Amino acid sequence: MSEPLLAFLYFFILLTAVVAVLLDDLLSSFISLSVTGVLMATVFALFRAPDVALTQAIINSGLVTSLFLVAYSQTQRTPSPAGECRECPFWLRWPGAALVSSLFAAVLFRGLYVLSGDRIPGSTSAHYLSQTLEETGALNVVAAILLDYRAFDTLGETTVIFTAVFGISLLLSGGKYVHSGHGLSFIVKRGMALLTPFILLYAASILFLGHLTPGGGFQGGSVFATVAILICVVYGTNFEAARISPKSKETFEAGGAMLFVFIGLLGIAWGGGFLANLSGPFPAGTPGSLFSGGNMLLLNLAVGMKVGAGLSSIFYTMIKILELEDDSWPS
Amino acid sequence: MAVMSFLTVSLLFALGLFTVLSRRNVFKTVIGLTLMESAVLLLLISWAYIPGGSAPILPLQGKGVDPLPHAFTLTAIVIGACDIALAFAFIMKLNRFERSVNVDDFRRLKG
Amino acid sequence: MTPLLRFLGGISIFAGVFFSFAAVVAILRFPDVYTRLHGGTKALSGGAILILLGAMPYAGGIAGALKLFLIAVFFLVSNPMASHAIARACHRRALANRPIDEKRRGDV
Repeated sequence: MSEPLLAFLYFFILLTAVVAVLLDDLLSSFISLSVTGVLMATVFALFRAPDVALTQAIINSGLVTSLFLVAYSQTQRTPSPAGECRECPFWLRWPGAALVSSLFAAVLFRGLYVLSGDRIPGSTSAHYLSQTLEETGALNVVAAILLDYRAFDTLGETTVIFTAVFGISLLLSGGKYVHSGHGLSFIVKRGMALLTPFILLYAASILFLGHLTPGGGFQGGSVFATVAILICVVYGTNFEAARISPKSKETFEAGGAMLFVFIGLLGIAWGGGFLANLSGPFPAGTPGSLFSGGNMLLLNLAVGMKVGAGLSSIFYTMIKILELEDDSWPS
Repeated sequence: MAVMSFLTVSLLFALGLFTVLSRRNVFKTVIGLTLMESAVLLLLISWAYIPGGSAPILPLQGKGVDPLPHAFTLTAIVIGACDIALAFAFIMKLNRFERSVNVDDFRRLKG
Repeated sequence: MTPLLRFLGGISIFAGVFFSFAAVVAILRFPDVYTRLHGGTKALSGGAILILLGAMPYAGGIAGALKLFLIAVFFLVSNPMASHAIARACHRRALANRPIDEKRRGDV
């Protein structure tokens, strides 16, 4: 990997980050932030991390920007007169913050500089790279780490997603459901109807082949949530709620978590321990085929159900109280 | 190359910290949090890279890069997105009370 | 055969980069919302598709080239749809013939 290319990308990451920080217009600064996310996904791909690049591009550049757009359209912002702290002395405004940040950056860089020698991977990582095929039967080492060696951490991560959905539903409940949009024009609706099956197929392939190729439950579930968001925007909130009701989203989310725990308990019942893979009742299969890797296919499905239903219900909760100005335009 | 990555990580983190400290708009605070998280992700992935290594998909072509920080980074990205969504929900709820997104206007608990 | 294809791919990538740069200039320099949208999306669609088609000889084998071609087809279908949605939203809010206020101070 060439150093000038990396330097070029790092320069543009810092440039778009500075633009996102210093601009006054919120919309432009968040668009700049999503460009930073895409550039970081490119850097991740250059650093031979395809799983992470896929996740970064989908979640940080796509999903977070659409959530920001919903939050931006829901808030009423009165421009404040000064834009800076009104009661603070001068040294507590941006000079003080700049001083603290630059001191922090200097100390951090000095601390990290020690690590810049020859990189020798630890014994754990060497074990993962060499023994994954025998011990799990999967080809994707990162998916094997996430769903077999450290599957308990993934269970904790799904709990974090559940907590976020729970908190957002609690915060934004009690609002009156004012309006639902009619969606966009006929051209966009027909075009979306043409594209949606392919996007769903793409999401399913990322999800189910997660133990063979870069991908997995998180990425596939996020693309499913993106389809739900697209249907919400293009066809209107009423249409989306009629097709995929909030109750079924809750069922899918809870079902994903319960499937995960049930697979773990099956491992205990077989005598292998919680979330046991090959020492439980799950066959290894031939490496490279779809039904390989033990319970990783089912765990990917559970995680995908959880993430997809959770993220789409977050979006629906945030957008369902959106008021539209002129609703009478025929589609 | 590692020095370049660490320099970018430090600058990105400092940029995020500066935003959180000095900007009065709550959305800018979220931008600062995102930048700090992105700096940590970049640190993890750039530290996991072994020169001449290939992606951690079996069968490996040559050496493989360190796969353990990749798993940490995946978890961190998803959790970061969840906490940003929760932050947006907080902003929407606060906006319903004060009709502003300036931090100086949220003064009901003061004194 | 392959060096010739790679050379043609390189020319296509250069042309695509020029078209993308033209799209950026259009978005920055045109006076009205609709002209900006028109210039931006036309040039950007052509530029992105030229880049994707030009990368096809450099991809690994026929499978990678076919994937790039499918991405180009998807882009050709979805980008005009997106700009149509933006233009229709502008038309619904009657943004026609209103000069874009460059000095407007955004919300802080």
